[in-house]
Amino acid sequence: MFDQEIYVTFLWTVSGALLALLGSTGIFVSLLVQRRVERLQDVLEEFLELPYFENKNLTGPMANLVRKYQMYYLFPHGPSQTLLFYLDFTLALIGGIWMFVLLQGLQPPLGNQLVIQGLLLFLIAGNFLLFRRLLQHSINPTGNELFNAIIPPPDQLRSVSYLSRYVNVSVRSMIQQARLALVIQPDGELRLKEELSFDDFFYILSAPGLALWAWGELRLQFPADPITKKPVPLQRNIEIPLAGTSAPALSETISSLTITFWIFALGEKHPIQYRFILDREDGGFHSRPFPENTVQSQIVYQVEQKKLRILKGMELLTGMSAFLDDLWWDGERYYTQTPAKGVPCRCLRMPEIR
Amino acid sequence: MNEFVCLRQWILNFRRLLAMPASEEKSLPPCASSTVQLYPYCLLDKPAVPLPDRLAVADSKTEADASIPEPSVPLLADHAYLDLGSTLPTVEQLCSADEPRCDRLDLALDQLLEVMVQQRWSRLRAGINELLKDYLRSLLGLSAPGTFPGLAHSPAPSYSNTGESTHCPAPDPDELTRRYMDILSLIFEYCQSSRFPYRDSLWGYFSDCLRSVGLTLAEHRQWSALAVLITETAAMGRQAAREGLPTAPLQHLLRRLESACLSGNAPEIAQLAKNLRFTLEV
Repeated sequence: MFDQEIYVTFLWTVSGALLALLGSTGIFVSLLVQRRVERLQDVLEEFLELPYFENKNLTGPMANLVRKYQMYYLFPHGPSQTLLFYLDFTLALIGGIWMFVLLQGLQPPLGNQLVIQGLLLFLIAGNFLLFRRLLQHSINPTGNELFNAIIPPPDQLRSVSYLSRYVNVSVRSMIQQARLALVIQPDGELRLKEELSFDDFFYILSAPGLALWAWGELRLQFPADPITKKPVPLQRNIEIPLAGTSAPALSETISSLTITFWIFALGEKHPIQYRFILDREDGGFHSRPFPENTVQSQIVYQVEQKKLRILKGMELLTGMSAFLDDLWWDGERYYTQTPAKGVPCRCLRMPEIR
Repeated sequence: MNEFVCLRQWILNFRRLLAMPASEEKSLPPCASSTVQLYPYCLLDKPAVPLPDRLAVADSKTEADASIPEPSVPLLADHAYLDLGSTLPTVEQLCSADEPRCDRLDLALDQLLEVMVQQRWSRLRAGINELLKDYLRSLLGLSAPGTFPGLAHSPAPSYSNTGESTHCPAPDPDELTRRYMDILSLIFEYCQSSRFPYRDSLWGYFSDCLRSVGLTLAEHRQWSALAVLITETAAMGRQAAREGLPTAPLQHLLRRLESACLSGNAPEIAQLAKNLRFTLEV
């Protein structure tokens, strides 16, 4: 049997040594994590610099960058779980040693002082748990609420509102790469086509030739692939039904239609205006490539409490003045061909990849 | 002679080169007289799909054109030429004399590359237009304008068949399409060199012309030729996307062709068009 006093002193030093080892490995882990965060931020920066080459076709590079970002973002869970196991084991060992040493020093008359001493011990234990959580998050910095603001999840890269609000890039040139197009199918359904699936914005669409107004919030959800279980941050060639137009309006002898489309992003005050010219082709209408897009500075808007408020430029939207008080950001798509009646229809068809 | 006449002359010469029969391939016909009657010039990049009768009618016909005796010739007329790139030669073949192959499309390619070197944009544009019109005529079995004046008044040939011609021997549509598309892709390859300044415009013109050609083929139900055309076009499109050139018109064309193929009962070509559209920018 060891000498009692020497043994307790030895346990003290062992717990100190274990803490020092934990600290030094912590530095290595943080170096690795730091490198990874740097890579992610590099990719993010590269992605955000792309839209400055406005006239180039960047759809492919942008989709590839999002994919690359996702690759760095999805860190395999195996190593981080091993690290966490080491961490937990060491902390439990240190805690055990401390408890053992304290119990050795416990002297029988248990008075009121013990309550205060015990309370302090509880606080220390709680603090240990907090730091363990912090370490757990920084070992695996993605997908937790602590670091989401610094390292956004890959699907945020398709969110127009996120890009315009936090990153302050030119949303117009970003969304230009999505190559928006409008189609009216032979059955009268109006669809928005996107080459890259940007979402999270409010839109208002006006087709004077059809007396059609459509508005709503565009929010897409791509569930993870059911077989490979990989998340899907961005899709290509998506079609979003916006409105159903009645057949009589189309059966008339119109050869081309002009449709105006405004995009309202969170964090901006002027919408982006697209002007599509649709030609009759194959029984339906297809918009011409390269539609004119500008920032419409006549309209000023503000978003408050999940609602879009038009502050200036009502005259451009007089056709739908009955609905201007109810522009909710609720993820629904509305349309009407009879604005005077005041009851919009909801477009319930789901977006599809075509 | 001012520039306009030169350009006109060049186009007329180029047209004559394309309409040249096999027997005369080695000597270019003499220049046409400059007194001509103007007909509306048929441009393939206009939104309208060229109708067969518009293609069959000479869009700027001269009397001199009428003197060219034969319609467009079958391709690859001389199979005797020994090409090490495509065959493994036998000793007998090496010892025997072979006739060098040189058909009108090789000459046309030379002409086009020459105007590219000279950076003559209008000539290049007109040359590509003429080349593709010639392709459509050969494929649909139409006679070249001005070659047989009597034929202009004869009843129009039937187009709804599988490319069988009533006038000239029908070439294999796949082979024919591949031949012309090879020329286009060589031109496209050259236009990416830094010495050629009109890369973006040329690609835009290519997209416009290929749309007309593709839609014409779909209208005439030339499915196998269409499959070759869109495969080759998509190969160019992928290269263009890598270079940062716009591919929106091409996507639009493939989408339209997909629906045209579906309605024309050619689902496998529709599937091909869809696949190509999805992989255009990967």
